[in-house]
Amino acid sequence: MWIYEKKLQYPVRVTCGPNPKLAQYLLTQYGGPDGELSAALRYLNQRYTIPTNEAKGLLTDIGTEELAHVEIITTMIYQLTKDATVEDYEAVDMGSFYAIRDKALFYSDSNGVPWTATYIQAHSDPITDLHEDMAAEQKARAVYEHLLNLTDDPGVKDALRFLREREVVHFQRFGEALRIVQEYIDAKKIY
Amino acid sequence: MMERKALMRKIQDVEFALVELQLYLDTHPFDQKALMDFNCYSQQLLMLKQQYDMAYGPLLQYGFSPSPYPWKWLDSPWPWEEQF
Amino acid sequence: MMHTPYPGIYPIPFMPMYVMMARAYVPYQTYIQAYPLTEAIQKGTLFPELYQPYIEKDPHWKGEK
Repeated sequence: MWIYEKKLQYPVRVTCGPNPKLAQYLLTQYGGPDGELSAALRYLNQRYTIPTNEAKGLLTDIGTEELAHVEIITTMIYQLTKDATVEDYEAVDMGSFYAIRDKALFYSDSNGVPWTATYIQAHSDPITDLHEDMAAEQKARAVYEHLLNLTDDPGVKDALRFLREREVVHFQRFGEALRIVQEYIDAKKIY
Repeated sequence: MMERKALMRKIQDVEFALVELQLYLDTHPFDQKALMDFNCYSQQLLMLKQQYDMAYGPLLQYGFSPSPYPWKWLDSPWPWEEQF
Repeated sequence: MMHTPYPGIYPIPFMPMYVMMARAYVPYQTYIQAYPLTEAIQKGTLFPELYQPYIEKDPHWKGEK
């Protein structure tokens, strides 16, 4: 089971709101292909068939951390939009967002394309799944860099840098989990 | 109020180190130094969380933090409403 | 199935002794030093060797506003 902790993993400060346009950009890391939801669901779903115990632990623990990252993203989106007026939405040509659901969140990318399970994969082969996970971390890192290039809000940048660095660390850990699998294979200790 | 945020920041700091060490230990289960640091920070976190629970209400669901009367779970700000 | 880590494969070397074609290898980290706690969360990692920040492009245009 999971226990909710009433706290953010990282203290989010949004410097200048409202800014619905920036919220729209960030939305892809909520419900987009390389977003935090995709990450969490991918890892938690792969746990059942990955053979090594180290990788089971890692998928559980990183998958859980990704859920905390979902909350960091939604916190930024919430704080960037909570004081926005209808005029603010219209001014940046986001009347269609407002029309559909006001300020409510939706699992979609920045263009409104809904989240789909086809964003994530699992093959039960540990080499395959760990490569998928390492690729996912790189894709998310690249998207965070795009987002860093799209904003100059110091508070948002600060949180984006934190999230980007987490991708680097996760890549390292999945890489080590892959090394462990390779060592098992070479030791002929077949799981 | 300032004090609650300062304590929350301290919890975030310690717990972040524990997240890092947890992931590291998953791929380095025999690393004694990492394990020692993990256990040491885990003690620290326990104390900080108890302090927070008593002063500002439960940090965790389902009885991991007790609540004084009346029900305090709803009192502290929700994470997305917190201004750091 | 109970599955404890198989000690026979540990310690895992920094890089494999025998490298093979068509395989990807990430160097194995050894924990030596850590950032002070407030610096660690601010950087996004506890480990100095994993801190690899991004240098942003010069902004010639801004998408928002």
